[in-house]
Amino acid sequence: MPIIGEADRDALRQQFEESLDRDVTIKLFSESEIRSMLTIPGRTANPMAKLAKDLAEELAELSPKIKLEMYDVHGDGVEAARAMGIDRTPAYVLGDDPEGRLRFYGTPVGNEFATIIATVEALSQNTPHLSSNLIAAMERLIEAPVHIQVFVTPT
Amino acid sequence: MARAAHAFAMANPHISATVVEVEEFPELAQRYRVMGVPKTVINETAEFTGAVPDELFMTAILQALGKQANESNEQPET
Repeated sequence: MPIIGEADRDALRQQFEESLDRDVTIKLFSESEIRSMLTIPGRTANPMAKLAKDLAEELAELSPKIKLEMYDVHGDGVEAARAMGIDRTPAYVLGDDPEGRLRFYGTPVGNEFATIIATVEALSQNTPHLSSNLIAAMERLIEAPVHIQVFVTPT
Repeated sequence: MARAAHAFAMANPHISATVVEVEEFPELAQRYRVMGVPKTVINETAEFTGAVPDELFMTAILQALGKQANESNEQPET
């Protein structure tokens, strides 16, 4: 049973055909499904691993311009996760930035699915949806690292 | 705020933006005392709860960096 309903899939496919310009990479850092079903002493199995993977795959199916890369943080993705400092799963890294500066920790269902879509579109258009004044002010004033965390719930 | 945070990070290479679904990471909700959403934390030093316009978001970023908030208004639109 798909997570994204059929009507929504059709609408999104059409929307992406118009809104997406260049390719956008989504990197999903997760645990392999088999591992996530095992109970390892001292570790909690992550029931969200499958949901996160299914959702990412369904999203990538909606446009050939969405390129999905999957990394198993206990397998072939160890190095990539370490390089980006990914310390939780599931983690979606949006775009090609080598430091993975645009992230979503957790599974973006409900309202937050719209966040992922908006960010994918902005990356594809290479246009952050901010006023040019604000972007200019940021260039002038921000010279040190800024880490923003936004805490959300799925509803 | 999630969208805006990603937009800020896209627009400036010094900024990184992580959106956290707190129900999956209750330990983070506890650590950052998330009582309402969206809650935004900047560099562990500035924070606000609720949605704010981009300009106020920028003000909070500057506060986190120890800068004067009104510096961002130096160049009004002409």
